[in-house]
Amino acid sequence: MPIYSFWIYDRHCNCIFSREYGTGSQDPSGNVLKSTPKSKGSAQFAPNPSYENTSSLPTSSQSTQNSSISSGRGQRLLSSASNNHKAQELIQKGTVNAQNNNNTSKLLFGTLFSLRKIAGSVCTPQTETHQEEEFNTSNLNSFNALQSFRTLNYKCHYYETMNGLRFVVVTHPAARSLQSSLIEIYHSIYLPTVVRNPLMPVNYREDEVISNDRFVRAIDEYWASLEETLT
Amino acid sequence: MSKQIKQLGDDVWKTKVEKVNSELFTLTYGSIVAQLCRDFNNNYEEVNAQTYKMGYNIGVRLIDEFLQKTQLSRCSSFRDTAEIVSKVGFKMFLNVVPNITNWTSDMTTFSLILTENPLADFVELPDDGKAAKELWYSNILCGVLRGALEMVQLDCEVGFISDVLRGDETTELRVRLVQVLKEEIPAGEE
Repeated sequence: MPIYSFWIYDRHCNCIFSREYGTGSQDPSGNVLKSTPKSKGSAQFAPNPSYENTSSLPTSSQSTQNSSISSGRGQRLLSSASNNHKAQELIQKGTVNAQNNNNTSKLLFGTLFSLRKIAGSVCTPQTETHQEEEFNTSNLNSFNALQSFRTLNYKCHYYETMNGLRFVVVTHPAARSLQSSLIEIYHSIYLPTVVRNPLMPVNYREDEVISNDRFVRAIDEYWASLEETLT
Repeated sequence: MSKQIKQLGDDVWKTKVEKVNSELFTLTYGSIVAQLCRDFNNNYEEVNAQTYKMGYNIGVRLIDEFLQKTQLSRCSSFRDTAEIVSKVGFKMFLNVVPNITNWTSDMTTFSLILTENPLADFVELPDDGKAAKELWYSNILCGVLRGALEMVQLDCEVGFISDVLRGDETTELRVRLVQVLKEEIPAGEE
C-alpha cells in the first residue's frame, strides 16, 4: 500500500517541506496529484517509468528491493537495517522539496484550507461571552477538525497543531486513518530534529525549507516502516 | 476542571520532563544576567530588553514541547489559558504553581503571583541605587510567556509589576490579552 507524498506547511501558509515517493515530477501540467497510474495499485513505491532517476537504477537492485519488501510483509516493523536500505532507495527515487512552490502544493493547501473552513462553519459551539466567541471563531480550534478526505485515487490525511503547523500525507485510498502517525511525526521527528535544532528557524522565510538530512531520513524511514501496515 | 488541570500538570512534571539540578539552573541564569549587566554598563533598561528577547526566542520553541508533552487541545476562554499557564506550564518547566488573581472585569488581564521563584534564589540586586528601581531580574519569564502565547494566536502583553528582589511584598507578573490573532491566509495569486 503506497504512500504518495508528504507535506508540511507552516503557520504562514508556506510549504516548508514536501516529499514525493516514486512519483515523477515531469508531468508538464504539474497541477494534479500524480497518484493515478494503475501500476501503483499493487506495488509498494512502485518504480514509475516517468521518474527521472529510474533509468539509472540497475534492474537487479529493483528486484532485490521488491523481494525484500515481500519477505518483510506482515511484520509490524522492518528491521532497521532493511529500513535504512529502503530509505536509501526512497531517497534515490523520491524528490525532496521539489514541489514546494508549484501549483500542486498551493492547490493542496487551498483545498485543505477551504475544507477546514467549511468544517468549522457547519458546526459552531455555543458561546456565552464575546471573548469565548473570539476564541472559538479565531482559528485552529480543534472542536471540529478536518482529518482526511478521499477520492477514487488517493486519500489525503491532515493534522494541524495548535501553533499552526500542518502535516499532510497523501496515500492510497484504502489506507486507514493516519492521524496518529502524523501526530507521532510531529512529536518524535519534527520536535527533536527541527524545533530542538538551533540551526533551524522558527519562522521560515519565503522559499526557506527544511533540508535537514536527519529529518528527511527519519521521515523516509518512518513511512517506509509504515507502508506494510497501512490498511 | 481546575483539579484535572492540576493533576495534568503534576503528571507531566513527574513522568515526562527531564530535570536538571535547580542550583545549576539558578546559577546559570544568574551568570547570564550578571554578564548582561556588565556588557551594557548597568544600563538596566537594556538588560531587561535583552532578557525579554531571550525569553521570547525560548517561548516560540517551548510551545512545541509544551503541546507535545501535554497533548492539550485549544482553550475555550482566556480564563482556561490562565489556569493552564499556571498549573501546567509553570509546573512542568519550573515546578512552581503561581496563583492567579486580580482579574479585570473584562477578563482580559490577570496577575500571576510567584510565591516562589526558582530564578531568584540566592540573588541580591546590585547595590547601586538604580538596580532596585530599573532591573526586572526575572524578565526572561515575560518573554517566554509572550512568545509561547503568541504561537497559539494569543497576542499578549506580559510584564512584571513587582518583585520581592526589589523589596516588594510579592512577585507579580501581569498578563494582558491584546487580541486573538487572526489566522493567516495564503497570499493571493495574481
